[in-house]
Amino acid sequence: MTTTSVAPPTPAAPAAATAISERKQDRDGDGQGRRSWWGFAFAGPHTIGLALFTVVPIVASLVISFNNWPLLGAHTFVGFGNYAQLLADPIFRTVILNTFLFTILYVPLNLIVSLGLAAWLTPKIRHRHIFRVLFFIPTVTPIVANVVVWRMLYQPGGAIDASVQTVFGFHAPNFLADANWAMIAVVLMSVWQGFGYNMLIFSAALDSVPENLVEASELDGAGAWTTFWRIKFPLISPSVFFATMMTLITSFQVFVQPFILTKGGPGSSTLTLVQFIYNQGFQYQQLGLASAGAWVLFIIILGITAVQFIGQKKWVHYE
Amino acid sequence: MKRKILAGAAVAMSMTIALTACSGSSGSSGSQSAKALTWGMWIAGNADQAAWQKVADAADADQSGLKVTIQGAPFNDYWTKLRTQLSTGSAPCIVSLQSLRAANYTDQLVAIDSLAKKNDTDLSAYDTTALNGMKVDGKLYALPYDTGPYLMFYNKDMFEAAGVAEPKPGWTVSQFEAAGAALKAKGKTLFASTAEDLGLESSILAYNDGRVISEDGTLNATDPKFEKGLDWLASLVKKGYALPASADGSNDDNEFVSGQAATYTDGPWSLITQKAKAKFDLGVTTLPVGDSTQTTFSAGSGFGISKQCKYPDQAYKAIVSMTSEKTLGELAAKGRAFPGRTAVQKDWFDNAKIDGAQDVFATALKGAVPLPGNKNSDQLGQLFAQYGIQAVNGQQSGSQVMTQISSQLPK
Amino acid sequence: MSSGIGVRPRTAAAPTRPVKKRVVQRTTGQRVKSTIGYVILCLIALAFISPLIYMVATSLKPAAETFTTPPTLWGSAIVWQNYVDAFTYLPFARFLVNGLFVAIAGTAINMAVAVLSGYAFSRLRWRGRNTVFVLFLATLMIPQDVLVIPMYVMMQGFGWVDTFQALIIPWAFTALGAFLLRQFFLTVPQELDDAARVDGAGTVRTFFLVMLPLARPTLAVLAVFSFITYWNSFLWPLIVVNDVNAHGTIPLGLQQFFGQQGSQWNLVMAASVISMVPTVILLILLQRHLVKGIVTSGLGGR
Repeated sequence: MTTTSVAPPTPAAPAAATAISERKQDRDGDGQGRRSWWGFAFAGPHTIGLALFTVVPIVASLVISFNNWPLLGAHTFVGFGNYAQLLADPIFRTVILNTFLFTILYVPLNLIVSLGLAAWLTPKIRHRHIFRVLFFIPTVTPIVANVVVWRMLYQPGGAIDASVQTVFGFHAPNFLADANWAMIAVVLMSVWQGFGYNMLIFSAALDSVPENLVEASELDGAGAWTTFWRIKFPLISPSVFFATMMTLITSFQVFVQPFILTKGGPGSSTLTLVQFIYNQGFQYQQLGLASAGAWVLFIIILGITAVQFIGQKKWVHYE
Repeated sequence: MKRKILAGAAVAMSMTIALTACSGSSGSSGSQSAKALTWGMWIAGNADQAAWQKVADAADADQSGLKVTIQGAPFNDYWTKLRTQLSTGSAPCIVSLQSLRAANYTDQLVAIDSLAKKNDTDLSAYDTTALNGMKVDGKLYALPYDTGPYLMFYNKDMFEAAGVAEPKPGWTVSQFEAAGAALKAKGKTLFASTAEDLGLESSILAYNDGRVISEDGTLNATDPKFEKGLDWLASLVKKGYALPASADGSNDDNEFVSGQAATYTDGPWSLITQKAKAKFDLGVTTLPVGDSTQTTFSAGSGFGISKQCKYPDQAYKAIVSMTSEKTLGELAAKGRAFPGRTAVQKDWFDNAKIDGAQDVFATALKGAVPLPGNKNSDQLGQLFAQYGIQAVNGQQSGSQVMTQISSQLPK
Repeated sequence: MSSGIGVRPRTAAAPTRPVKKRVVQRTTGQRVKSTIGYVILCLIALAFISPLIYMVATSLKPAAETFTTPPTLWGSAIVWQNYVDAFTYLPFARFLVNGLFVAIAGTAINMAVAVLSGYAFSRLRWRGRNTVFVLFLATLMIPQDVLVIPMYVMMQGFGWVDTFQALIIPWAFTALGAFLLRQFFLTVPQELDDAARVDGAGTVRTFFLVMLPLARPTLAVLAVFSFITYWNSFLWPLIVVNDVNAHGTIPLGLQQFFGQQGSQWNLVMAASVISMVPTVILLILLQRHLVKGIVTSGLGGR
């Protein structure tokens, strides 16, 4: 149910890599040991549940997207009509641009902050587990609670504005009501609440970099910076790759932050794809249009993932 | 392997089709029976819930054993949910409606004129404006429980501290702006801006008769007068008389209660709760009037019956009891709602204990016109929250904003 | 598990390490530098956490003092009453109970099906195993938002709209758990099965008596992730819950504070603090498990 947050990149992807690599050696489960029916029994409940609640809806979603499907009344097949209507809609174009803008700002910031802090929080740092917990708290807090606090901070007269007024004597921008600031405000809030997950992943990865390699590098006279990029980063690059991918995927699904901070405004400057889907589906009852929007989202995500997988050869090092 | 995937996909498809086929037929409307009806209402909290529970209990006044169960949602989500529920056949039997939004839902509501006739309901006991607000195309869709002209609430203490005379009912835009200048000189702000539909539309109507929904209910999003009105609201922010608007509809209420602004606009239904919340002496007056004959919109809410209700007769009797003199009198005594029945409106004034409130209402109602509903008024409200703030905060001109808004509304 | 050194005990830091390994001796200059670094780190942590401090502080302020210039951390009085009011203003106790019920039930189902399928995918041999597993993988790429609309239509078909089932069941079968558990079971030595088999235990007994107890740490990680996603979920409850006071969870309840009556920030903050408590307790109790789980389940250190 990551629908609610930009944050948690699901840690499944590395498993994907092993599964795929393993598949080459072990065609269809006939490794050592005898086959039995127990496999079906054990995997059955999960497989049926997943089929019913993920595979069926995704197929249904595609079917709906090819229909004019109001919540009430008959539906008619329209082929690619919904998609054509979306592409012709200036608001939908804005929505796509906003979603990309959010991703372009959010993903690098998230990765820099989480990687930086993970690198900083080496085992040498006293009480590092306390820092880890602190940085992780917003990630596990209900995102609605986080957003609400930030709305209070961003508000004119709120903590940020009041501080700026007290120190500098002028008003801070009206972050959430100013089209130039609203997206930045949403991104900053999202990074704050979302990077903890990646930080924990990187931190665990960095911990397992063999100490002797690091020491050898230091012996060669390399500084911490060089050591990090020459030795540590290549070793943790699989983790960075999968974290990047999952963060990208989830950032395309941003919804709660703009929904509560700005309602998509001012104007349409923070209207994102998922809010567009929600509005089309549940405010205007155009399920066909909403599903088409959802499939555009899905296709974007598939495309990005494919590009990532192709690009990974250049910088990801598997042992 | 391919064959299996294909087979799997085929199974998934057939399940999909089976499922969607089911959805075509209307689902059950909760667990309704002749003795147990559901009622959709916007609920803001426990106190609210308790007050409305009393109303639900009152539904049983003259029937034996009728039980009305509240289905509560926050005001903003209520409309999205109602639309969805009405469309999917899962709507409650009794639905709450706001006059300006009634038209959005009439295709799924029961016109209750014949029921009123059948039950000999004395409709003349209801406030005429309130009752008219519940009519769409001449048909009555709900019995009103509250009504009232949109008003301006003010902070008496702030006016006094700034040495500004308290506003009198019928005060003008120039008096309003003069108060703004006087407060500004003392480092205070006069007005908490809003981008909510009712607030914007009422303020601008009083300013220059500008309106986006004309009297017959048609949409006129690019009314030049309304655009000028937006520019006027922006000028207040620019001059420092008003705080900027926020996408959050309750922001102005909050700024007023916390003493950041001396005035804001709201309906009588909020008056007593705001008075209880405020730590200062709260006053009420009419909206500042400019070059206009119509000085405010009146709006109200009531209870209607959804077409999915299998027991419209019982539901009708329930809503009559829920808007009876006794029930509305009790609501008025608690300050929940300015009653939609004239006979008990006095109870409300007695309870409000705000000096001159009766005069203010009388003056306001003289120039008040009902805010007509329109099928797109929900969407319009959403667009005001998004785009309206840009106009009020002066980032774009009124005409730019209204052009953008109208481009997103169906022609 | 050669990569499992990630969770070395904290004491492995400088003090207890044999001196001979520390080739680069720390000079005074370096120590000063690292102290300054530490102070900066503390300041960053403080700045980072300040919104939460502000949240707690506001939750204890009188209503009229939530917005002040200059901003103050504490109000003129500490108002514990806000917490009482948060519970009375909205049926917050109800939201808490609902949220706990939904999260715990969903997590339990998720753990049960995932530990079984994770085992099947790693240690049982059956036809089509890897094909099914790759399909599991593929579902992780599907954004849940794409599913929301057909899922709603489906809930209508089941008559599940505005029920707890609708909040729990549809998301209890996400594939994530199967991966975590599969990764874990792959690290368990084959000898354990063989030994159990020699003792005459069948598949079921081996699973329950040998494997399940071993999997506890990984299950704990899955439990935390699953609990958190349920607890924090917003879009789906927003869509599928009609009667918020009966079936609402915490995020819906929080949102409800912005009702028609205006925002009561001090109460909202009090409610937010309450909503944080369960997950923060989980986090503090299980933080070491979490890091360890991330390592053993194959996330870090590969």
